[in-house]
Amino acid sequence: MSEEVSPYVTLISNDGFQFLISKDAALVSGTLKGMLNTSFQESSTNTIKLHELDGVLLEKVIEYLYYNLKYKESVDVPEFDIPTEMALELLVAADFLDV
Amino acid sequence: MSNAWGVRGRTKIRPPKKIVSNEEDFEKLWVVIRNAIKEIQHKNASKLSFEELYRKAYNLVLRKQGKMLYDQVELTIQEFLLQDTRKELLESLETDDERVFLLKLNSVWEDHLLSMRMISDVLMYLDRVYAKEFHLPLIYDVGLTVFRDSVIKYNNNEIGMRVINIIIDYINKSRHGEIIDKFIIKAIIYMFSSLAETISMDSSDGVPYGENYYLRYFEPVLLRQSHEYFERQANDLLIQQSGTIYIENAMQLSQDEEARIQLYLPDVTSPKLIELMDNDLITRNMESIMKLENDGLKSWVNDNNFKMLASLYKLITRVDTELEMLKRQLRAIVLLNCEELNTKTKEELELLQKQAEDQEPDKKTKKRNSKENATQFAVRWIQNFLDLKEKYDLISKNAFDGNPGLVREIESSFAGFLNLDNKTAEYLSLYIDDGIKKSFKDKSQEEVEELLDKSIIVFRFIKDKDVFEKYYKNHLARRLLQQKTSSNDVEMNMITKLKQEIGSSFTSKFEGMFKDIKISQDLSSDFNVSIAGDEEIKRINGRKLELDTSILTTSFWPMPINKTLVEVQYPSELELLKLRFESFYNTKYSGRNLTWAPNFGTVDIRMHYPKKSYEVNMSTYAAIILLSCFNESSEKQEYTFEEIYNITRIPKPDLIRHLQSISVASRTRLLKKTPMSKDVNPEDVFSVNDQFKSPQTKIKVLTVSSGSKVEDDTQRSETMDAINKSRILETEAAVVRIMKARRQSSHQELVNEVIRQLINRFKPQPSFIKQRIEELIEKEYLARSEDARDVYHYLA
Repeated sequence: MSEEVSPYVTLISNDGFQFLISKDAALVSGTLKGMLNTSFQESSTNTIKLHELDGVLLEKVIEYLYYNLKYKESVDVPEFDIPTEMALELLVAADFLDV
Repeated sequence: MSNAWGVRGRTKIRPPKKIVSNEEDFEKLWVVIRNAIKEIQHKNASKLSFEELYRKAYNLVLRKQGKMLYDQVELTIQEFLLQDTRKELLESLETDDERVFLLKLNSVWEDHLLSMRMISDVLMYLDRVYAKEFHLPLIYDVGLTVFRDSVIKYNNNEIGMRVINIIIDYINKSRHGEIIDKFIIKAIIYMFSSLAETISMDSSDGVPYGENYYLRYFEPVLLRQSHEYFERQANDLLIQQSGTIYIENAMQLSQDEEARIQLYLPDVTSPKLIELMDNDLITRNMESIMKLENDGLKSWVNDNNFKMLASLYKLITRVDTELEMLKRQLRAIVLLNCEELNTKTKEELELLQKQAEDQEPDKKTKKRNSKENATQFAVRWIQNFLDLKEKYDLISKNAFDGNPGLVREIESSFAGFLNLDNKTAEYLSLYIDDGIKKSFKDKSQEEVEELLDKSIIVFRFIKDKDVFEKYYKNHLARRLLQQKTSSNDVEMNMITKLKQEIGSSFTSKFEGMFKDIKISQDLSSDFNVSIAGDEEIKRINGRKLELDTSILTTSFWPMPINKTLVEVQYPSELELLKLRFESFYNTKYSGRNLTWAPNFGTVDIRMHYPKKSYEVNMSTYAAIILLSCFNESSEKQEYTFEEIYNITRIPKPDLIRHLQSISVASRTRLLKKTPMSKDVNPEDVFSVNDQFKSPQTKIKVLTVSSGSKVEDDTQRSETMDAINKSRILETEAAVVRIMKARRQSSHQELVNEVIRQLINRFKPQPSFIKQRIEELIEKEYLARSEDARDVYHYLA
């Protein structure tokens, strides 16, 4: 319960990988935004444990969050590379995270 | 793992984690969520994991258990509100005072909203997937509906009605000057507005609209109560029978109420409440307030009470931008004021006369003849009208914001009154006459200018301009012939103003008259030069003779040629002058016909009485009498009336008048009449009055009725007959003119065009035009078309 507001948030995958990402990127996800903006455990600890995602998937998701944040306002956007074998898993994760 | 990152083509897509559907699992997952909801409602959310709850709800929805979850969530929320919140509020109602209760209500409402936000956040997936798929309201809105049904409306609106009554009571207290907690009222009303009663989605933009608890339950009570309040206020004020009190209070009440609405009530109610208030305070009562005799519209107008009038105007503008009721009342008062002009003018004149008598009791002011009084009346009447008009101009400007509708209404009221009869036209002409005659005596140039401008104001109101023209022509003729006009510039100025107002065709005759006089002056001086050495004239008289003639073009001037005057016998001196002038004129203008009108002229004669000689100015008729019968060379000393008539052949009525003026009028008794009565009888005998004496050497014989006077009824009806005749001519001329140009026209078109052409002079009635058309058909100027009865042809 630190008093100072950190610009970062920690995401933890179900296999224990921790990712420290900027809050702005996390807020791209509607679900993460809900977790951080209401007074639940997550918002006070600034840490979100995501039981639905493993490290590999979470890393790709975070890559997308940053990608989205960066090109949100742009028109000419480079393609986001999605490895074929992860396609379905990413789809489910996107639904879960509301991105 | 090597598989996963392998070369394209051989890639295998990893399947997502499988979700096992297990009925037994629902209870396990639901219990967690249920407990969490309770924790949230008890404000213990910080220990809960959003991710866990979200994941559980997510899993339930994925397992197609969304409906169960959705229903259970609603029940759980309801249970808390019914058991905990509602009971708490009922207890508060029993024990706490109203304000504490309201604060509590507001705080549980805010807590509920916060809980609902958190609940709906963790159930985001349920909203997004399940509720959307089945077109159900979002969990958050379910929470609001549950609050409405389980707290506010539960048990026959138990809490709701209590709250409504408390708030309305507060608002009423505020109306009576108590200071109330605006925050809590606003908050509760906001809460009521948030509780939807029916929601329908507008298909076009997705904005929800529909009734809410505030509109369905609160507003009707508020409006009913407000109506009672304002009606009571209005009635209390009405009893005092004072427009000032009523209007000032109504202004205050509506100002206060508007401020109150701003403070407490939502925008949606504002127009309804204001309309209701305006209806109770203004629409229903303002007309009777205006009618109040001592403290109503009339007295404010009379006192130039701009402040009250402006307030009245503002209030009525609130309910009716057309201001119909104000127009109605104003018109009545304008007309009343106009009617008062007669009595007012009369009283003023009487007062003036009385003052004059008081100052010089011996003088004959009281004997001023009634005709002169009538003229004074006319002049003053117009002046009073102008004052009245100015007064209303000021009121329009200062109190009514120059509102064009009201200005028009006032003007049309004036116009209506002024055109009731044709007196106005005569009065106005007299007013101008009086102004021009006096213009140099006691008025500066600016004042004259102002007077003329003002007369144009009245002129604009007059519809039958031809009637005015008739009178103006008469008065102008008198001024020109009797040299009463002070300055040609002033006359021309007035004519120019009239010309600017309605065009040169209207003033062409005035200008013609003016030109006649100018030419005549030159002509006279030429003539006098030409006879200076005339032996014959010298022989007859031995003294100097001069002649001033006015050659009048018949069609310009209002006086008809009077054929009976041809018989008048001139004494030799005048006869000679007359002949000389005729030949002089004929050499200048050949082919013109001169007809003498001695009834308009004057003659200056030097008269030798035994004691003194006098220079006497008298009418031509009087001069004819004196020169023909009472000159040194006359055969007899005495003549009877009949003898005088036979010698002079002056028409008898004129003869009587002129004999009176030189034998009866006390100051100019040049002749002696036997017997010495006022009336002139055929047997009366006249002789030179040797005893005549006068303090002045120069004397003017006043003939009865000279100058410009108000007409009496017979004269007026004669004038109107003359006008009517000229209207017949003008209308027929217009018809012929139009038909000549168009060759053929329908009846309606023709009538409209005639009216359009004549409107600057008078407004002909369609029936009048119809008569004229029929007359012209009879005279074979026009013919009805054989194909259509209402179409006319022009016959060349």
